[in-house]
Amino acid sequence: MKKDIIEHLKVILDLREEECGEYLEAFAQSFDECCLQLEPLRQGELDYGRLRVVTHTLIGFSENMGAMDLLALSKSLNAAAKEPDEAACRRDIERIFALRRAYQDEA
Amino acid sequence: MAVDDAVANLMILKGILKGNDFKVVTSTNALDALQLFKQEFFDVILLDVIMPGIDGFELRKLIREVDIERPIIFLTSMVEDGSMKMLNQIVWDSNTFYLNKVTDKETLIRKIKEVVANHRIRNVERQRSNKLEGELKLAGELQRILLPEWCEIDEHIMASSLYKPASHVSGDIFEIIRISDAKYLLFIGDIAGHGVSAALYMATIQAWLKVSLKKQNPSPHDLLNQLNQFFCKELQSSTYMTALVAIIDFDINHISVQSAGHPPVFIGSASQKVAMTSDSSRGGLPIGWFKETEYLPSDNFEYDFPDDAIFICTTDGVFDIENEQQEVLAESDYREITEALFGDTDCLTFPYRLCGVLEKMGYFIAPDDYTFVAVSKNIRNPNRKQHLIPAKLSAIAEVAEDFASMGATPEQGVEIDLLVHEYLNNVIIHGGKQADKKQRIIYISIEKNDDVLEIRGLEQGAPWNIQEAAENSGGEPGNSYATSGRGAQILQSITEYISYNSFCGLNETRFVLRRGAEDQHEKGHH
Repeated sequence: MKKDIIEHLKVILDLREEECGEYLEAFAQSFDECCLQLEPLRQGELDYGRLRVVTHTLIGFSENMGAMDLLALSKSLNAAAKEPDEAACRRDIERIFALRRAYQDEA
Repeated sequence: MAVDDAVANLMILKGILKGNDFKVVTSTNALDALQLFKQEFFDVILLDVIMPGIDGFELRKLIREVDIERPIIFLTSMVEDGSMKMLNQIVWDSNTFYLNKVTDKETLIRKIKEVVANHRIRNVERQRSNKLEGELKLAGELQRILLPEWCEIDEHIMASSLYKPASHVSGDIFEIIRISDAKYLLFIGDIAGHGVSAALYMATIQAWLKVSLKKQNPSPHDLLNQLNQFFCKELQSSTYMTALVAIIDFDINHISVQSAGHPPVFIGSASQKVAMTSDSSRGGLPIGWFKETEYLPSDNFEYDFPDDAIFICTTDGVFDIENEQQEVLAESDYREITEALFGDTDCLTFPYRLCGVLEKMGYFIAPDDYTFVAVSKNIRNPNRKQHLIPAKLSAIAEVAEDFASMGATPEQGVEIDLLVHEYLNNVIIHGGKQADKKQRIIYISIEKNDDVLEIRGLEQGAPWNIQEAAENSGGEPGNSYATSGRGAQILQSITEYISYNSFCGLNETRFVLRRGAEDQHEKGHH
């Protein structure tokens, strides 16, 4: 995912790879904040309204940053929250957390 | 300023706008953003719609409480998702725009530049318009200073006028000029239009009138002929004016009038109870139409009037006054109202009562300037004293002292002195309109009839309700009457009867005192 982001930044902002550091940090911060908001939903009862607010943020910055895996998962979670489909929501939340762990390992 | 709860989005925005003459300030929450907005100047606000806590729409509302026009661009992907509700919320405000959140760099920069440029142009235009508005207001105030006071009195004449410009400046003109001992010129005119050019013509004509009258002893037709020549030759004017010229001689009670396309003068009196008008079929075309126009002596309307005659003039703007059904005032209605008022209306309140009746009938939408002028003979009355004073505290003592001499006893003189002080203090201090450039003037009279003394004040200050003022004096702090010291209780304790009326901005207060010592218990208040 990190590689996708760097490539995207190179295209839209004309950045060199070594200039992408602060953008990656910002991405990680926004990702962490969203996961922090997802955590209570993951553990307890699902609040679909709340879930849609978080997925809106996730969709927004993952698309802006070119994090296509996260974008696809966020859109899927958003659609499940609209349904609402609890099982699909819980599945996508877990996948998002897994993606976050993978991104942290990558970093 | 860019506001988004995701710091990653703000970084991308900063990155896109970097190097394009933009200084970007960011905030990740609405409250911080609002604080920043109040502290700093921003050309445009870029807002995310959905944020935890206060969302973008709520933040816009808070910003609009501070600034209703600052451009806001919502950056959202939800419009693309087909959310009409979202779109409707965005366009609720004409200074709000939107862009897709993942728009390309060029589109974003172009949109921001366009929105900011348009806002700046609007600002410059508004500033220009405000400046022009301010200058027009000042011009209107200066124009008002050029016109006679609402009330003019001397040993021969009493005159009152109500001047209603449709905008700040007006093309209406009226003048009352003493020509010789008891001979006066009454001039009323209406220059076509009611903008700045009409106002400038008005000032020019006014100056011309004053200069011309120094050279001669004119008759109405002479003056109209000269004015027409001045208009056509010297001003080479492309506009025109209607005018009515009256020469009134109060020694022999004679009026000579001619109209140049202007509404006629109404003449009525309480004693004759019949109103008449100068002949509207006589007289000539408006001034400035043709330089060849000749105003003839045979067209002067000549009339010997009784002592109590009142002359009422107006400008034709009065016939453009509309009611809510967009019906204009008919000339026959105007005539009927004027005739009805002649029986019990004095010269000084006539224009204001006339206007009051029209307003009560629903005629209050005036697209053109209009003016009412009332003139009458100032009949000598040894039982009456009257003063016209500026609304200044320093002017009170002289009036109070003069009126006190009308008291039947020294004690009553003291009461009159106190009454005059309380009343005038009241209307001068609390009735003032600070914004007025023109000094207000107050008419006050005292008249003795059998065992009754009546003090009457006419002024154009803020309206007041003496009964309410008396009941509320000494009341709760913050109550305007309680803190004003309007002296209503003192006025009531001195007088037997107080009446108050207000017509179209003219306040009339009458105080009736029984002459001589009276038992306080017999006094009643109404």
